[in-house]
Amino acid sequence: MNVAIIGNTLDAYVAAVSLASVGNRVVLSSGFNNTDLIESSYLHNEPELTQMLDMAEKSSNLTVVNDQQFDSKNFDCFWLFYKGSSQDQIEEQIEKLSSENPNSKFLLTTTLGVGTYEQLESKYIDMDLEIAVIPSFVREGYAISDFKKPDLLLIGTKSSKFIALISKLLSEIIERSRKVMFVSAAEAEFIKTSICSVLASRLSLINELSGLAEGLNIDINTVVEGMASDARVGKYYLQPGCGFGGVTLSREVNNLLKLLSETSSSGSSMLSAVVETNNSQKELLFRKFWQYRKGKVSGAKISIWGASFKPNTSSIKNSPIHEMIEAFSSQNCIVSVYDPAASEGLTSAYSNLEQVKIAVCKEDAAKDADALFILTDWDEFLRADYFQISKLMARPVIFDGRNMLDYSEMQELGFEYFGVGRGRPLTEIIDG
Amino acid sequence: MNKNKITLEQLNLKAKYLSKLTLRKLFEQGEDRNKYVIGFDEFHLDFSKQFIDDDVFAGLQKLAKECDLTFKIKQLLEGSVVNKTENRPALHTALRLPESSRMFVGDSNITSYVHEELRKVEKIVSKVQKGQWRGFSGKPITNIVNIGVGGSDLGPFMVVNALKEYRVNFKNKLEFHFVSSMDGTQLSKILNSINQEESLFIVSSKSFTTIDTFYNANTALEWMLKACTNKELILNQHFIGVSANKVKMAEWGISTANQLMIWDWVGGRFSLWSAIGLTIALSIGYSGFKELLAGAHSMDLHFLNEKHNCNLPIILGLLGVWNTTFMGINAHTVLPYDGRLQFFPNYLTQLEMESNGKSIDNNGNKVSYQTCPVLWGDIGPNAQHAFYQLLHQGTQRVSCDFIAPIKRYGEDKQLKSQHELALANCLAQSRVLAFGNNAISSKSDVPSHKYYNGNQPSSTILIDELTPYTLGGLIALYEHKVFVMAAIWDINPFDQWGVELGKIIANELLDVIKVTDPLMNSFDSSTNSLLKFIKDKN
Repeated sequence: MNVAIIGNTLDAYVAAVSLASVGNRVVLSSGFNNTDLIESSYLHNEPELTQMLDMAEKSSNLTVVNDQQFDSKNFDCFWLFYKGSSQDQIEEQIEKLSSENPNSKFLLTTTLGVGTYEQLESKYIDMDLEIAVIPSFVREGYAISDFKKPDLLLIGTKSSKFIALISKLLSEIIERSRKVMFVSAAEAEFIKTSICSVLASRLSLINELSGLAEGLNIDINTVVEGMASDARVGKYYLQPGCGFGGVTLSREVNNLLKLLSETSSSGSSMLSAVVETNNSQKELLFRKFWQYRKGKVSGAKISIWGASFKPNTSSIKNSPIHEMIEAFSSQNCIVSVYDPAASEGLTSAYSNLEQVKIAVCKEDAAKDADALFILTDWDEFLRADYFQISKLMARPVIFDGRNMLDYSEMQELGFEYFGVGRGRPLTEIIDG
Repeated sequence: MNKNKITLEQLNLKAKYLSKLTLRKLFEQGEDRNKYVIGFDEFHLDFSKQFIDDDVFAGLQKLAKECDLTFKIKQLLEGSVVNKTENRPALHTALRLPESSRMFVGDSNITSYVHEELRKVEKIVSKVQKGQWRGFSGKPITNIVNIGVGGSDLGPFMVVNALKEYRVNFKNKLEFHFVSSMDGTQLSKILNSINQEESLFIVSSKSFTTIDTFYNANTALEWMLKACTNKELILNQHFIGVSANKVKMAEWGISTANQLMIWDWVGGRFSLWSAIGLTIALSIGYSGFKELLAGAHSMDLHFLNEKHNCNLPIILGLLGVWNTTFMGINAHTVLPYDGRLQFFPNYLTQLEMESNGKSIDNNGNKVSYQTCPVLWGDIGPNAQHAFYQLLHQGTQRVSCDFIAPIKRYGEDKQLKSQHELALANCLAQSRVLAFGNNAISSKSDVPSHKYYNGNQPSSTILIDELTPYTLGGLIALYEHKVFVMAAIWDINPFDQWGVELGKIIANELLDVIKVTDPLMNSFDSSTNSLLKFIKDKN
């Protein structure tokens, strides 16, 4: 089949190479000028993707073009991938493509959330086009296998002709998928958003539990291990930490919150609490430090490792780094941040703040620090030479926001260690 | 009041004459009563429904002249010692002067002190606004508790409630609480509804010795220490003091960084413009607070510079004197037709009655005329279902101030129609109060119990819109009205010696109530018997 894939996201690349690899003629166009450019780290993290991209381009099944080079004629369908919050950009694409190609069929994979399809459908009711929704469940680092062998494939359209076309296009995936659901577009959107809400709720709940565990001198990591072994609970999205960030989860939950407040006068008590807990969790480590120093934090030298919202990405969108920098700089602390991939983003966000320095390496950040904070669980931080780090720091104190380090090992190295839901409870310090 | 007896006699004669007339008659005499309407900035004052004519209006202005009003206003605004019993100026107007102005008390340019404190207010507001004022556990502050009584409570409480629509969306939604009464009713309720980690107490007291405030502040501190025993941290992060007494603030435990100053030359009931207004600034943001100050400053300039016959505070003040001293009307009610101004009448009860509830003149002699009337009020539409019966058909003469903004609710048609209903009621009530049954065209006889006498005089103040700026102007308008009345009556509006004796006696009685010793009959028989009854029950 002839398919045009439009978008500059990891999903778009994965879809393009996967469909090309099974014999479709695919053109991948960057489209959406204003969206995030695909990050080179995506390709680093997806070795299979790089390899397949080479092969597909060599086989001439895949052509990668930019927006200006893209010729929209002679495609069976257009698959739009969009990771942003402006519906206008999707509409602009649909209107442009359908004006050039009457009777166009569009597959949508976006982060716009519940209600997007309904709005588009009512807007284009008189136009000669069809829209289906296929939510993405692709995770970074597992992108190809998630796309080719998904746990769940949602095909959201009620048009039988369109279902037939999609079934043909995705026949290999349908065969390998653990579950395929043919649902309405609105249902597809709703399922995706609901999954995200459950995941976000799990994270906020485990964070709340970790606060309690800490007060009772219980290690939350042990608790999580036990909980995860219960099949009804499972292990995913159960790691306590200093708050979730990124685009997808935050956006989906906010989309749903917005929808709830629009459609129900009482809004959402549950999801609001999830978001509130998460927002508060993002400055948890600051509060721990505050308690540790009994409120006397002014002038402290702070070292932060990790700024991206998760490892293996340079994105600092909605990452706790922002709350932490604001909190520390408001208390006249001096902050030195190191992140293996996010230096550029950090520089553009904080170069105007005098008391924030972007460090070139872990050691540079840790030098003379009164405390070290880990916000992202990059592998690099596991492998650090903590003995050397403890010597570099003014005081060997670690606040581990991802519970990635070994508590007793750190203590043996002379560190005072505070995790999330583990480590010495701070309440006893503050009262003293 | 006035050495020139002729003016007083003329006004007295005029009052006798007008008392026999009706307001309807005054309106029917063919003169254009629209001349009794003046405006300034966003204010429109209609005092045509007062018992006045040209002779009275001229007579009152003559009285003002003979009482040296212009000179006295100048003295007030220039910082002369106008509060003679306490030997100090009353410079609330200096609190709203622009930073570039200069105002000297002794050798000090107090404008620089004022703005220094304002900058501290701004800094605190900004920190709280950004969610960066931290409680003992590091959590941001979300509850602001204002502890103070009298001027440290009524002004901030009234303004914070009136300007809720102008609340700034802080990062953490702030809730505001006010604690004034010594009996603990307000405080115990509030402490049950907020948490220690996120609460900030603003303890305001000019002397920092007010017993009401101290009992409340001590209870609040004890409650905080239950959550965290680190007293230094609790005091640093949860208590701000506002006072003229640095030493007392420090003694109580307010940390130097959390001390905000006011000065001897600001009266408590005139102090919301100073750091006492911190709660206001936290509510409407620092820029909103500056707007409030700017509105008041603009009224100050009007008061100082405008001719007497179109000077809003002067006219309101002269009318107040006219009604009380000459017309013998000893009750005055303030009736806002806007729920946002619910607490404005209550605020004015202190401003007017504590200022002018005096019977000794500036020479220490007992006055021979009536001074401040009894003042009260409520939201007009609610008062219609409460005390308007007395206004319309009772035996008391009462003068009234109607206050209403013209524009409200933007494009919300439904709510706008409610505001229109309130405006219609405002105008209707002032008509009926003035003209009684003659306000309606029907000539048919009515039974006596349905008869409205009318003849209750009123003024109507319309404001384009209620904003921080116009509210600032409205409050300053009444502050100056009070000063004008005091200037004519030759009394000191800036002291309050009448509230002192009760405090001393209360201390004596507290000792008697607290000790378990048998009761000595050391008071009057009534007090002795009440004490006995209390002690027998305990």
